[in-house]
Order: sequence, then structure tokens, then C-alpha cells
Amino acid sequence: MNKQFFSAGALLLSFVVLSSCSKDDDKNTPAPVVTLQSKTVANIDGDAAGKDLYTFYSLADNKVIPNSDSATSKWDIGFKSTTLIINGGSSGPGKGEAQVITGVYNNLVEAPAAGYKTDAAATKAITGWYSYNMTTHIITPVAGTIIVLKTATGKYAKLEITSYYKNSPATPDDKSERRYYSFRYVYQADGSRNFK
Amino acid sequence: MYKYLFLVTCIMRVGTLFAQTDTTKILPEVVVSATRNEQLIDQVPVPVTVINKQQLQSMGAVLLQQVLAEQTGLFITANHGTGVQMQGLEAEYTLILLDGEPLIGRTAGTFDLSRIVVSNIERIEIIKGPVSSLYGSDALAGVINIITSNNKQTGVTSIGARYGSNNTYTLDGSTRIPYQNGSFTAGVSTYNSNGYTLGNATAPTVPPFKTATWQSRWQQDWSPKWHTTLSGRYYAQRYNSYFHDAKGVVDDIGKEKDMNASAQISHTPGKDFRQVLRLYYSRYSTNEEMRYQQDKSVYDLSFFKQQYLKPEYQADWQLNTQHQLTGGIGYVHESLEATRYDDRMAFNSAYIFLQENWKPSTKWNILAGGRFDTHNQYPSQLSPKVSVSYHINSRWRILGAVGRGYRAPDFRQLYLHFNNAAVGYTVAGTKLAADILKEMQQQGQIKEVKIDPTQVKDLDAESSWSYNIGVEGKLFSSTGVKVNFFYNDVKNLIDTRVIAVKTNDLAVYSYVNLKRISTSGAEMSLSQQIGRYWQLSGGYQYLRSRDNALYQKVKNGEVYTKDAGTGETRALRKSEYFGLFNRSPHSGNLKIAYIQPRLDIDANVRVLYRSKYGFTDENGNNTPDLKSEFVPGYATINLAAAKTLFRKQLRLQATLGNLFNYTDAQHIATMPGRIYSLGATWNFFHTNHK
Repeated sequence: MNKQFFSAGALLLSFVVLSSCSKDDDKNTPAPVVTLQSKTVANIDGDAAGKDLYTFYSLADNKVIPNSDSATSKWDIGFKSTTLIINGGSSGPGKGEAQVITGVYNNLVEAPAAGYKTDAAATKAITGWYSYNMTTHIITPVAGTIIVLKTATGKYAKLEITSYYKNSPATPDDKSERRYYSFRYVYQADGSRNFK
Repeated sequence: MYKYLFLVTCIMRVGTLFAQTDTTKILPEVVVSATRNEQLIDQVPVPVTVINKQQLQSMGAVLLQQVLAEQTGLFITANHGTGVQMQGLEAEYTLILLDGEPLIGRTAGTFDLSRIVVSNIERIEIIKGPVSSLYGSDALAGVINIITSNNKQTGVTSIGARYGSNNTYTLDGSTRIPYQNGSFTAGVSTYNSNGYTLGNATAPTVPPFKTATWQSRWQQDWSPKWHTTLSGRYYAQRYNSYFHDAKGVVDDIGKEKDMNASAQISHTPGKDFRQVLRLYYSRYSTNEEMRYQQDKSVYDLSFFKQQYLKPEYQADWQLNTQHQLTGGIGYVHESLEATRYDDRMAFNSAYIFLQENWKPSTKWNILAGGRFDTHNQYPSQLSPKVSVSYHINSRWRILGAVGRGYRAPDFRQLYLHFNNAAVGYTVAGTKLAADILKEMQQQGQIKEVKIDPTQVKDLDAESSWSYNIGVEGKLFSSTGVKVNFFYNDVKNLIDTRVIAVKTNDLAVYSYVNLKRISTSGAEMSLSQQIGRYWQLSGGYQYLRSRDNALYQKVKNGEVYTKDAGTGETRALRKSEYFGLFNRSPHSGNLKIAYIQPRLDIDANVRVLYRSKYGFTDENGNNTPDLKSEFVPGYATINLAAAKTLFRKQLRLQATLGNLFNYTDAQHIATMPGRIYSLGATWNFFHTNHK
């Protein structure tokens, strides 16, 4: 179900980063430029069957983690209906924290230093990422919403949800199968806030 | 109504002219809605659009919405019923009056115009811009006054029938009996249809329905000074629909009833003073039953019952040739019982209004006034308005107006308690939000509280300041021109807000005064007589609309979209901000009429156009910007032709609506495809008893 490929945007970004670095390269010895990949994930089951179960996902490993590991630090983010949890606070044993900011995904080159919250039983750290149309009952990710989170091991990642419906239809309608998450993310393994 | 008595001669002359010919100049019409007393349309300092009986008949329209759809600057909308958008403001901001009294029974703010059949209507007066200064709540965008009273001195009994597409048929009968000191009229009108289904919908777009309207009026002059009018109207509708649910087909049967009654006594002691006492009562109810077809088990049962009672006193005093004062005082008691409300709700309000019409010279006409409404549920409202007209010369005049309009929070926004069974969300009126939330928390239904309900403030009325300036006159002797520029600044718009999230992840909504919007634009219309028999008229409206806070965010680069080309998120450009949903920047109409009195032929073609408009938000930025978020612009063409025979006793008419069969099943439910109809009316002219 999960596919991984370079998005055009990430490539574009890496060119921009490469070219902007070239000025410094004249004076300094060239440091190895590691551009982070934006990974794209499609059709993660957000409890489509309504069994009241989360689907857990590891951003570090880019894969789904079985429910039997829910009490471990193997997963970073969980999906159930419109609720998103992170591995920390009331949701898990990890160091997970998150905040929702607005901006252009590709332009976010550094995670904010402060403003993160942990999950609490009543209030999750990730809220307000979607809008709900009371007439059509369609759930729409709000354009320009970026989830910035710390993973179970305290590493930074930025994540953008692109669809709540199976196979990401451009115009979901009442026949679209809901609770299927598609998203893309950048994971910084070195512990810095840098997303370049 | 007493005021029309004074117009009898005028109306009669206009009527005679229409009946006989066409080319000679037509006497100015008299209007009542702008001032609450009769004024010549070309003198009153407020632009009033009048649609008279002859125009209604030549269109071959059955419902009010068909008539309004063809007026410049008006759009028919579908949101909990068929409504009308005026000066870029949605249906809930236009007050609909029947003979000067408000029609009740709005669903989610919309008064369903399909409840009004036109067969009994004498004329329709439309005023754009707020008239809360005379009528109070809801007259924020404007007023549509449906006038049924008629003071023609000829007795006539008519029967009529019309049959058309979708097995739609109407049967009408009416009689008017004038006598020495008064008149009696009565009429019945039925309208039935099989409805229609657009596209591949699994449920009818418009289900089969039957409606009937009964109407009666008795006017009596007891003496030259005393005059009474009693009138009543009763409307009933029934529809049979169905839809599919996971468990099978659900039958949906709805009934709707609407009645109004008014009594008034007017006293005219001299030619400078008149006073009138009116009592108006209206009752509106619906009953809806949804049951599974198979086992008749209940899917949903709901009812709604609203009552409205209003005594009102009005006095008109002509101080001298320059000054005329109009004042009034009234009281409204409104009550409501419904499935979605816990108890029987009652609203009480009292009001007073005063208006001075000052004519300092023959060139100037100034109307200044205001109304003060007190209410037991929301803050008191003061609605002033000043209108001025200036005659540049005998052909041209300038009109300007500044006024405040308001719309009161309705029952729903204050007291609704609605659990959507099918989807699972809850809506709570502001007065009940705290209690409802507490109860749901005790039952363990709440996962997260977003806003402490004690922070949910009492609602204030939505209110606007509105500015209109225009010019009207004659370019040439047979060319009429009207231009009007408008700006409406509406604040405290009531919007839904999520106050809590339920354990099923759906929201609990309540209401809050939040948004501020503005609409502005220009409207122009042109009429041209060509030769003896041809008439050409056209209208155009340019409209801009804006959500002020959102527009500011767009300017700051804080609103985002997915770029259609790259698929990447980026900031929305200022030039891409299209404005509010459901607003077409450009709209227009062109009408060509051929009226040949000698041959008794009357035919016309009407072309209607509206440009693209925002329909939905697919990327959560609250503004239409993607191509798929718009309804494409479209034009429709309607035709009608009529011939009268046997000394005007028989009138035959054929109509063809939507010539090119334009439909848009996804977006426009109110527009069936091409519609044909054939109608015949027979008039028995009585011998005059006068």
C-alpha cells in the first residue's frame, strides 16, 4: 500500500538548496550536502471499518506498525477517523510532541523551536488540520496546514496530509471511501530542526 | 388596503393603456413599499422595481421564483428551500411581504419562494437596500412586497388551466365582485407536478408534489371616513419523496401548511390625516414522516409550527405641502414548537417607527426616518435611514440613500437542539449550549471541549450600513435608463462554530457573531421602445463580495491553495481571491417583447445569464479558487407567446422554458431541463353593479 518516491517538489527544493549553497562553496571546503527526501504515503487506513482501532505509522522506518506494538516507541503517529495521535503524553510511551502551523510545506526549512504540545486524553496535540463541510459532510485537509512533530525518539518531522479519501480523489463526494489517509513528510534523523 | 383606494383611478388608467395600446406614454405607477404610503414611482426617493400583472402574465410564470429569477440583480438560490439573493446578500436578508405583512416560516433563514404562486398577484414591488427603518428585522438586503389587492371597478370571474412538462398542471379560479361601497374577491389555485430527477440521482431532485392556495378579501367603505379590509390566505403542500439508506429505501412524505389573516380599520377624518389599525396573524407548520418502505419502521419524524401575531397602528399626517409625517407603533408575539426544540419558544418584541417626507422644492424629495425595535432575546435595534432624490431636469433625477439594516438571530440560532441521526453531529443554540454540553459530558459523549460554553456569548443581531447612489431618466423619449451603485457593509454575521468534539469524532456546533462581509457593485437597466409593437429591455449587474477578515489574510499571504499546475501548496494570490461563495460577478438579462394589440398577440423572448460562481471549498481555505470549486457560467432562454380571443374573454398561452435544455445536476437543483406548457384562461366579465 505504501509507495515511496521523490516528489517533484522535493527535487525542485533540492536544486534550490544546492544552488543557494554554491556561493558558500567558493570559500569553504565543500561539505557533503544531504538533502532530505520528502516521502509520500498513500491510503493509510484510518479505521475505515469503524473498529475503533488506530493505524500506527513509523516515520523513521516509513512503514505501518502493527497494533500489537501500540505500547512501544516503534510508532510515531497514529490515525483513527479524523483523530491523529503522536507517541507521547497520554497516547504513548515515546517523546512525541506536535503542533499545527500554516505555511508552504516546501518552504518550511526549519522546525519551530517552541510551541509543541503533548497529547492529553481530552485534547490531542494535532487539531484543526481539516475542515468539515456541513452540507456535503466532506472532510478536507486545510491547504497550507503543516504538522510539525517530534517522533517517539524525539526527532523532528514535518507532515502534510493530502487526502482523507481512498486513492485521493480530486473532488471527493459521498461515494468516496473515507478514512484513508494520504500524506507526505520529511523526517530529520540527525535530531536537528533542519528540514533542508 | 385603504391606501390603494386612492390609487384606483391611476391603476385603472394604466390597466386600460396596457389593454388597448402601447405607444402612448404610460402614466407613472404608484408604489407603497418604500414609504408605507402611496407615492408616485418617479417621485419616491427610493428606486423601486415594479412587476405588474401584465408582465407576470406575459411571462407565463407559475411560481414567484420564476419571476424573480428574471429580474436584474436577483439570483435564485437553493439552500433549505428556494430563496433569492439581492445585492450579493443571501436569502435570509431579504424580507418577503404579502400585502405589506411579513411572511413567516423560514428554514435555516430561507423563505421558500416556491410557496407563492403568482396567479393571484396583482404586482410585485422590489426595493433594494435596507428598509429596516420601516419593517424591522430581515429587511437588510431589501424587501419584496407581493401585492394581491386590487381595486379595479370591473367585476370578473376567471377560470384557467395550464399543462406542461413533468406532468405539471395548474387549475385556477377567481372572482372579483365590486359593489357600491366595496368589493369581494376570492380565488383558488392548485399546482401539481411529478417533479423531476436530474442526472443519475438515486432520489428525486424535486419529488412529486401537490399544492393549493386559497385566497379571499373583503373591502368595505362604511362611510367616506371609515373603511375596513379583511383578508385571508391558506396554502397547503404535500410531497412524496424517497431516498436510499444502508438498510433500504426510505419513503419521505412531507406536508406544509401556511395561513395568514389580516384585519384592518382605517379612518380618514380629513384629506390631511389618515390612521389605520391592523391585526395580522400567520401560522406556518410542516410535518415530515420518513419510514422504511419495507417494514414501515420509523427513520425520522419531525414537525415544525410557528405562529406570528402582530397588532400595529399607523398614522399618516400631511402637515403642509412640504411635510408628511408617517409614524407607527406595534407589537409582535412569535412562538415556535418543533422536533428540534426542547420547549415551546416565544419571542416578544415591540417597535416604533417614524418617517418624515420633506419636499423643500419640486426638485428635492427627502425621506428621513427610523425604527426602534426592542426584543426579549437580543439587544434593541435602532435602524435609521435617509433617502434623497433630486430632479436635475424633467427627464433625469439622482437618488441616494444611506441606511442601517438588521437581521435578528432566529429561533434556530438561539434554541436549536439538533442531533443529526444519519451523520452524527449536534447543533446547539447559544442559549442552550452550556446545558446541552453539560448533559452530553455526563453521558460520556464528549471527547474534547473546544470552547467553554460559558464563553459563548449572547448573540447580537446581524447588522449593516448600506449606501446606494444612482441616476434614472430618459436618454431619448423612448429610452429609459437606470443606474445604481451599492455598497453593503455587514457585520456580526452569525456563523457556526465547533464548541466540542464528540466521541464519534464529529462536532458539537453552536453559533457566534463572527464575520464581517461587504458587497458592492453596480446595476443598470435600459428599456427601449422600438416602433409601435416592439419593446427591448436589458439589465446588467456587476458584483463584488468579500469576507473582510479572510481577504486581509489573503493580502498577508496567510491563505494557501494547491497549485493546479504543480500540485504544490502555495500562498493564494490577492488576484485569485474570488469573493464569497454563490456570487456571480457578472449577470444580465435581455428581453424582447412583441405586443400587437390589434391582433391580440403578445410574445416575448428572455435571455438570462450569470457568470461563474463559487460553489464549494475543496481545499479547506474557505474560498473558491480551484476550478472544480466553481459552477461554470451559463445562459438560459425562455419564450412565451399568447393570444386573446372572443373580446378578450379567452387567453391562450404557450411557453417554452430553458430552450437549450441547460442543466447542471451537480450544482443547480432548481433548474429542470427544457419545460413546455400550454395554458388557457376564460374571463367572464360581469355586468357592472355600480
